[in-house]
Amino acid sequence: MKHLTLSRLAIVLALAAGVASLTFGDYDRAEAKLSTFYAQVEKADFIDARKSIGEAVRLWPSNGRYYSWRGYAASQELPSQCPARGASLDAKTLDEVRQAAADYRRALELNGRDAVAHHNLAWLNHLLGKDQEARREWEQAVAIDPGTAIYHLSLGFFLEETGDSDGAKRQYIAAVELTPVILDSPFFARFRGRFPGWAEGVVQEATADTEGRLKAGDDPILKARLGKLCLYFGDLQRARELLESAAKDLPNLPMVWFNLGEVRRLQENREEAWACYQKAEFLDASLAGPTLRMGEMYRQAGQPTPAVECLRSAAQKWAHVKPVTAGHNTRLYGGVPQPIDDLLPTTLVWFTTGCQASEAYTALARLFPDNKLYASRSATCESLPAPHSGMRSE
Amino acid sequence: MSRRLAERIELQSKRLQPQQKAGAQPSPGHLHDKGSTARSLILAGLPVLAAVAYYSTAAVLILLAGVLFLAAAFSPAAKALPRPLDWGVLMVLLYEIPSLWLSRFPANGVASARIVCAAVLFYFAFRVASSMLEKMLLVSVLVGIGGLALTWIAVTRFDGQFHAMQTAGFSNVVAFRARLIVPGPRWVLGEWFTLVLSTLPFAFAVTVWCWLERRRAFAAVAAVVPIFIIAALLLPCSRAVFWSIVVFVVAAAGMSAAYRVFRGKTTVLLATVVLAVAGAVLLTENAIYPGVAGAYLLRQSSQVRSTEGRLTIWKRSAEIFKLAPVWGVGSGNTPLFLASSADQEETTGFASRTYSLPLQVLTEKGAIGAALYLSVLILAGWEAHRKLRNPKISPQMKGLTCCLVAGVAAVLFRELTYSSLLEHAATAMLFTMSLALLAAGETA
Repeated sequence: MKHLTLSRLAIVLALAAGVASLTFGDYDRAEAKLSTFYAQVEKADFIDARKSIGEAVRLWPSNGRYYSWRGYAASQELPSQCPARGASLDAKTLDEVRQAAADYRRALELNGRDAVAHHNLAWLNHLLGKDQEARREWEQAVAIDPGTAIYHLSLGFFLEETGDSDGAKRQYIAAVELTPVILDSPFFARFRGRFPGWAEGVVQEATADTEGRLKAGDDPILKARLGKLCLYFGDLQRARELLESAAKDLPNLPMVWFNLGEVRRLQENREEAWACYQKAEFLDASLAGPTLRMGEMYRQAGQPTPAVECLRSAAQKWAHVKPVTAGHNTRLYGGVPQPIDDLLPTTLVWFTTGCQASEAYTALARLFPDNKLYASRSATCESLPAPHSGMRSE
Repeated sequence: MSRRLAERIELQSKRLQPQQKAGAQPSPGHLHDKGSTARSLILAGLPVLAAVAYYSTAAVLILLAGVLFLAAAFSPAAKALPRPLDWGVLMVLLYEIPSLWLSRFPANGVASARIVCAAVLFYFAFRVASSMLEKMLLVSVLVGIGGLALTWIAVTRFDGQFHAMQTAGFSNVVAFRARLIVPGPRWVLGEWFTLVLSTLPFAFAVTVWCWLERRRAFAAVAAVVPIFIIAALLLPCSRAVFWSIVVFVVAAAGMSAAYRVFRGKTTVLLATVVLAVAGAVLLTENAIYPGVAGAYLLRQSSQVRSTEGRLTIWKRSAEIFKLAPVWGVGSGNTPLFLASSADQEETTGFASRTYSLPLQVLTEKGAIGAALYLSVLILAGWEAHRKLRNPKISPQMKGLTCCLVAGVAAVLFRELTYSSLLEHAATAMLFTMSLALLAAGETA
């Protein structure tokens, strides 16, 4: 041991680190490919995106996340709506589904804690007609991340389709309690259209649960949620009190300000509504809702130029809406921030979040009556496909 | 050729003659000087490498390996045997191999392994290249300047965000503390507070050195740097950072008094002055940005929620520790388990970290890993104690040691309620640099 001086130890360490850094270099190149993949998916260049993610898998074959992305890239051409029971997919689609499902299975072998991978594999299994496996995967996604509403909704859709009304109701209630903005989504609009009583029951139970929890202790988040639920029921006075209280305690929540703006707008207090929308937009510039409302207010005030700017911006923001899972995954896995959607079917996020596209394009169509594009997009939200054929509004 | 120039050349050739006679065989001293110069250059380059670490940990690994190799090769006089702390740090690095192997999802641990690797290489580079007080002082000056640069960015960022916040109609600074400085400019990675806090002991050490050298005017000028750093640390309304500053001052003063670096009365006076200056800085900041002082004097809703959220996450982290108590679930794996343990009744939100370094180490690296990390801290404390009670060590070196120990204590105190030290190479490297300087030997 006397020969092992600090210098010699350092030399050995330097040589070992030099060798190790070569492996790390491969990982860095793989991450760079993932970054390229994100950019390509954002531009809808799926052919090149598949090549990039394939290269990332080659460079870092033990990274489960890359398999998930390869599966996601392979799923881009798949139908956004599962065909009716008994109807089969064509051979090419079946092949793509199997390929994507294999990637997701490999991803889960490497990392069984990825809720998005479980969720998407469930959808692919459902497309293949493997409903038992699908249910198990959706339940896994909910178990791994019970705080994310979209997993509850997906499981609920499936249960509704299979006729498990009670199970579906439980999932819808959980989702609405966690994220009441679902009430503004195309899903809920159609759900209410198909089953008005059931939909009211879901909101009432979610409201009762939230009120019960709020009695147990003062919590601004619960107040904010309850405020949104009161807004849904048209109890503007109570909604205002709850939202103002939440905003006083936690003034950094953009949706609280947006909902407070909605209350003030419905109470026809335009000035206060405008101030609330401005605050919401300042806190989260990616929100389409406040921009849409500001555009409408400009239009009503006879200011077409800023109105057009806001309405176009609102439509663009809606088109680029990201699921909450994107932010979660950025924090879970580190590396390049995830700028894209990761859930299947590819229209799921639009279907389950507030949809401002129809209102924005309708307003734009009024400003530009000759523009056929705006007119054709005026029913964007209404034309979004439901994930399951059994959920279609007839 | 002018006469004066001819005389000068003749004088120079006379000066060179004795060296040229002995020049056929360079003396060991000459060799040592060459090695020492090379080590000085390498040492000065190390903080630059820390800056490179902002961009890419992978790139910095190969650079660090090269620098370490050169530093070790250029030290003919460095026959010193490794100290127990060196072995402790090496064990922490070696533990990354089984930790990655046994990890639930190894890909998530690669970033952490890379950071630990960079930090340990950085540690050994300092161990090999730094022994003299002057070199350590040079490093302290460079890190202090780095801290000042970060401070400038932080303050300008805060100012811009504060005014944007006011324009948007908001006035509650505390509720917006998360977005007033963070995220910083894209090129500044790592956790802001830990990064800036890590530079504080180095900036402080320069002032202490000037004071002990009886260069009071220089000390007064040098004190501007730590004051600015403290100003930046007080702005973001983080109570843990505020108390870390207090811990730093109290620990530095306590050690200086205990090991008689300063007289007891002088120590109390200096500590009082520092805390008074910090108080004055806070009051000034509050006058410019109303509400900043309120973060430390009152308890606002966002702070209550922050505390409650942490307590909930800590309880959940304890459950994760039970899953793999010996080896841990693996670096970077805790977040994968935190979501599933959330009670749907909670409104804490999505948790992607344990918000406590000790809990992070326990859950991710298990009891064995935690014992290794703890042993490194104990050995570093022992090195500091050994140095501080050695009468042959200069007071200036003792002053630097007190600052470094206080800095380590302050960062660890902040990390009790956060877990950022092992998240980025820059913060980990600054931390191991402090440990390396504690282990470095120097006699007066």
